[in-house]
Amino acid sequence: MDRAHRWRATPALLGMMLAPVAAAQSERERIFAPLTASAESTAAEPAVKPRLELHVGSVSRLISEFGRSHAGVFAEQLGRTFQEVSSLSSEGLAVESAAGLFEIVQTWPDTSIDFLTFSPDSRGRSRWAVRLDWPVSGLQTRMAALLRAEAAGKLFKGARLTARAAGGHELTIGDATIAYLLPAGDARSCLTSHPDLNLPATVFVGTEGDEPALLGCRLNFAGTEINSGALFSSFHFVTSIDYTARVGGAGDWIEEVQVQWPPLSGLGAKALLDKVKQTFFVPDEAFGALAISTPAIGGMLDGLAGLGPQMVPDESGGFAMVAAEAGGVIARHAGADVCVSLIPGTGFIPMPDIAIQTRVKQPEKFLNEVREAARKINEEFRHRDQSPPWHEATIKERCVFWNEGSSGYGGGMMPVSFRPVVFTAREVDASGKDRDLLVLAWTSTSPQRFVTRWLELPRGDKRRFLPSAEGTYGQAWLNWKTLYAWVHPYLNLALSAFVRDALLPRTREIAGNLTDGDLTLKVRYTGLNVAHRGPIPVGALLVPALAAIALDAGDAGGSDIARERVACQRLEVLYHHCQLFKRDTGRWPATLAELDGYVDFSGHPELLHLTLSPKRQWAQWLEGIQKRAEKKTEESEDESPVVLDEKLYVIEWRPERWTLGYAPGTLDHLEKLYIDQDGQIHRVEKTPAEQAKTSGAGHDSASTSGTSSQE
Amino acid sequence: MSRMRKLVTGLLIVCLWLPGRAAGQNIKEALSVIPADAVGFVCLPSIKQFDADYQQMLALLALQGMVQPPFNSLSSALKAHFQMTSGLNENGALAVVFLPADNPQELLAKLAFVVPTTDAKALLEAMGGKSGEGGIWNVSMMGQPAFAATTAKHVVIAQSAEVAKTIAESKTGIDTKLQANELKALEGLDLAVWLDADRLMKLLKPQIEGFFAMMQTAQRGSADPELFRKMYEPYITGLRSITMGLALSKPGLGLRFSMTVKPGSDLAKQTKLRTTSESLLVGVPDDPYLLAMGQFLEPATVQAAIKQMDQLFVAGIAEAPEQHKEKITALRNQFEEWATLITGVHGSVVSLSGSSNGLGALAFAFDVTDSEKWISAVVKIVDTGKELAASEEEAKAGVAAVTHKADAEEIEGIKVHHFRFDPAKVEQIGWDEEDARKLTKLLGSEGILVRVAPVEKNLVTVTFGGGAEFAKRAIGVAKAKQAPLDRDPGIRKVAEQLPRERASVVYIAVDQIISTIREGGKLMGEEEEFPIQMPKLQAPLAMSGTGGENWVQFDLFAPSELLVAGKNAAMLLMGGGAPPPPKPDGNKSGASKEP
Repeated sequence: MDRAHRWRATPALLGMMLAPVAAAQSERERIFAPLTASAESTAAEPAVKPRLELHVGSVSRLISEFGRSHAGVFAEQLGRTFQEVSSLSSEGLAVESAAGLFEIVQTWPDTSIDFLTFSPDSRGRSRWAVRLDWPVSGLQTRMAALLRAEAAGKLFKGARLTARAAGGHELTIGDATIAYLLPAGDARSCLTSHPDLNLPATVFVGTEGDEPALLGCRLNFAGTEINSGALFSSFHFVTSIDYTARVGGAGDWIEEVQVQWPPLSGLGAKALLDKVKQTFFVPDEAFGALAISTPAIGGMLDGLAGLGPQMVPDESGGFAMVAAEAGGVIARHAGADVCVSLIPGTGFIPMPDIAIQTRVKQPEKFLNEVREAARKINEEFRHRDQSPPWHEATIKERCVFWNEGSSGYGGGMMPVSFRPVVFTAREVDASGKDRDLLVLAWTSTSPQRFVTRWLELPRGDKRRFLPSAEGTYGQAWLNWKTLYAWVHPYLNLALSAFVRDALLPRTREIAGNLTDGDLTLKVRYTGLNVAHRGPIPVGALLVPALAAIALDAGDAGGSDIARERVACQRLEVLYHHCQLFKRDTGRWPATLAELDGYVDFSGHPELLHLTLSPKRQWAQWLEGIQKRAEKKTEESEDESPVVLDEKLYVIEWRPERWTLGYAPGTLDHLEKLYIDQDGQIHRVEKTPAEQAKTSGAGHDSASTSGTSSQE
Repeated sequence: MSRMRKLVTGLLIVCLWLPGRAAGQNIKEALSVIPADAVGFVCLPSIKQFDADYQQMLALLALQGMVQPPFNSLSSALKAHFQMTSGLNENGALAVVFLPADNPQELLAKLAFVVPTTDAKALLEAMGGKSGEGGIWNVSMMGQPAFAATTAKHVVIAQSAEVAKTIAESKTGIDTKLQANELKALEGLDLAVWLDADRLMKLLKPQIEGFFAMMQTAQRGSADPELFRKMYEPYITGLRSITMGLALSKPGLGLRFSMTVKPGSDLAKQTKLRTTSESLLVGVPDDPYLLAMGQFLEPATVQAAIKQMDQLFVAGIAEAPEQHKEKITALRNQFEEWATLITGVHGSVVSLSGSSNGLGALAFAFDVTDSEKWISAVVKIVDTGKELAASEEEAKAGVAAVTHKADAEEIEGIKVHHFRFDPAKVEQIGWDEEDARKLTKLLGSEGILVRVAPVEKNLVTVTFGGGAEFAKRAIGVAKAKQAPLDRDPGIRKVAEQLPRERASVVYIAVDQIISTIREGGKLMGEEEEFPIQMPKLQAPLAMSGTGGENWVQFDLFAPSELLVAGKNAAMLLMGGGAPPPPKPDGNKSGASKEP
């Protein structure tokens, strides 16, 4: 997302919180002049799905449930810590002012909130809406009262509400309209970025049984733009991501993420992930653990352990690939089910140790093969005057292999180094059966110390097993108490750099709120289900991330409107340089070539190229006229200068009127797209008959007919 | 590079847009314009017919909206991209011809387009051509200079005037040179490709040698780096010509591959086929089939093929441990003895939907020269295989679980042999209870049990799965020399599209395969149904092989119903047109309206 887009996305987010931030208004106006209906008229875009649908059923319920949750208790403790802090911002954002506004907002009646974002308009401007349960007069009254407050004057200088002739109100800062306050039917109202935005009648809510969720959020990938109609262009690997959250009786957050996809993606996902059939011992003192099943894991573990093919410094000073034949030991013996445990480290720098367990059916054969593979790898290292990396020892009556790495200097200073350790162990699973397990660990301490510690970890009658859920495709367990205790001193240290004397609550003070986190995966042909239960809501990170993705204008995608957005941006860039040309010469440029020097076409060759729709690209491929692209590639390889190809653009130059636009037929859905001497962009839709006639030779015609004219 | 691109583009357009049933079009007439000494050609017997068939196929698959003009019509494409706006004879045959060349690089320069015309002058003028000396025209094809010569009904366009003139003045068409079986293979095709493999192989020898050298480098360290060359040598030295083509029609899509071989060559020995116009499905039960097949085998052909495969065997044995070499050689000889006793195979893989005997079963009827000898050969192979496997410590337990019992039961008055893997011993081969449970569900309570029944002196029935009940059915059908699947409406329909004289035939019921996979998922307790769906079709994919003295031909026919169902299944799989995936939580039906 470029800087301008990011700026435009900001009011959308803040608008949701009824706190739009004033910014560099003049900058916005200069670069993005409002789209004005031309003589040819602008056509309304067909209705499309919102990119993001965020629904809060009741703001007061959300606040009270948050307060009741473990995270709310922690936030309250944190709030007390920061009570004495008067200012956090170096940019002058007064916390007292924000707090003052919050006090006003708190007095407002309860409402539901629908926050919706749409794909940017053809000019690249963010489109968003916030729908509330109040009539527009109520919204106007509350917004007006808010803006009258002294705090608002500091935060939103120059913001004011004015009535619109067409109905509703406009929230403006300076000359720029930040939002429109409009009725939304049934005594509801909305704040929108565009007055003609079509809001969907229904939004994603999410349910918990019969009850609506506390918060529901959906990010749509499919159907958010008009696609070009090419074969397969409507296919998306993921069609939407849904998120719902509620607070359980004990104060835990119960969240669900549904990644929806078409069955083709589901087939691929099921080939990668399978149900976890084995259960694994997980030490209680671990930070967390993850059990998962994937057929590809064996080869990965070989590579990570240093038993797979690897690059070794050669005598000649180059690198050689070794162990290509010796590798694959773990892949041959490991099952698809694995459990990764993260246990507190015991070294000077307390980096956690990682232990991966997987079932091995023939432990003796496996160890013999590891020994043989290690011998071959060591030989290859010795042959290259490198220290042999693999070592073997008997620890607690079992063979243990570990990889110390070679003497080759890796080129970096690491505070800790991890050694892969391989051994086998016999553990009881959840069904009470003894199973042979392969343990592959990475430790920052000595292998002997790790193996001894692992084998002596408490294994009581009520030992923990993962997965505990049946039929899961993966389960993660997070030990928040241990994790918080581990990071607590470091967080306090980091915090002290910003807030003097600030101390986070001690583990024992909030132990009751540091419940275990549990996350389970379920892969379906129609989607992926991730269920989470824990003290900290993952939605706190996920929802902003989804909103950020939704607000990203993106590059020219597979839609007509996306390509038009890019086309408009290019026109505006060129127009800006045309103005500089006019300032120097007293006239508008007659050809694009005249702009060379004002525009760095060599540095920005993309200005002379517009991505075609997939349909047109197919047509071009069939025609065999991709020579332009090939020529470009050849030239870029030779670093020869960019040949100024003006065929994409048409300049119409008359004394009374000057326009710069694209050659006819460049865009599938438009007859013309051009910018005039006042910086206004005009778009002329194709008639249905013309649209039907659109053929693969469209861009070619643009290339041949695109010439500048001058009267 | 640019010229090459133009030529490739031209070829591509011809290839992509060429199919079209040449109903009533005499292939000989279309071929008569191609010079007899051509080393290859791509021929479209009728532009107009192709357009009709191609558009019919697009309509059938509901793809008209996706394919934009001019690419939905060959004649439009020719007009749009070659400016052949006037004088084009759309009823005529279009061809791309390759004349003999001295080296591969020259081959493209010896390429020419033979375009049918009603008015050669009008066509060349429309292309912007200018008349030159000796009746040669200078034209431009997609911006590239070219030369054209005219005949009564065609315009020949090539990169060189000499090539254009040679083709235009050619008195003898390739139809006079092609053998009767080659002409027959070209009949009914919308797009036909013919290559003089003998001359092309010689021309491309340096490239082929280079390829083998590359493979040899890649295989460095293996027992025989020349193995690859030895495996393919018969094709390089024994091929005479190759014919390929496709036919689009209302019933479906047909593909054909045919080759003629040099008499007396190794390839000729390996490709000799015995054909029949009678049923090849004799002895195949009429259970719902996933795959049904029938094939005649010639012992001499099998022996020649095994001799060719010996290259692999020699390479394999060289890498085998010393103590195994004797057993491996014995196994190879036993296999040869077993295979050369077979004169025909007829069988099917069937679905046993709703049965308690598992999900599916296999039944094969082998025509053999001596059933007792054949079964004895099978026993020897199993025993040698067991001995070989038992030398591996971890395989011992599994090998011990495989048993053979002669006269284990009597079905339809025939003493049946059992080859069994004891299901009680699955744990010894590393399987757990879950694996054993799944195996039972798939194959029934008998588990892995193969029944071999010497029905007659020259007939053996082999069944796997389905229990004694299924074996009884299969033996009964084989014994009665019945071919109940010949009455299957789907097989009857697609068989009409295959040559009548056949050496082999295979029918694959894709809908039944998908339905069986879905049922298997349910049987295995899968929570979700397999996402690919296909309605019940009476339209299997059909393949056949036929041949004669020094030639073979393979045909594949995909019926329209299957193409449409396949396209719909693919669309559903990609989410297009599929019902939306079930959302765990609903959409709120808000009372809000547009602002």
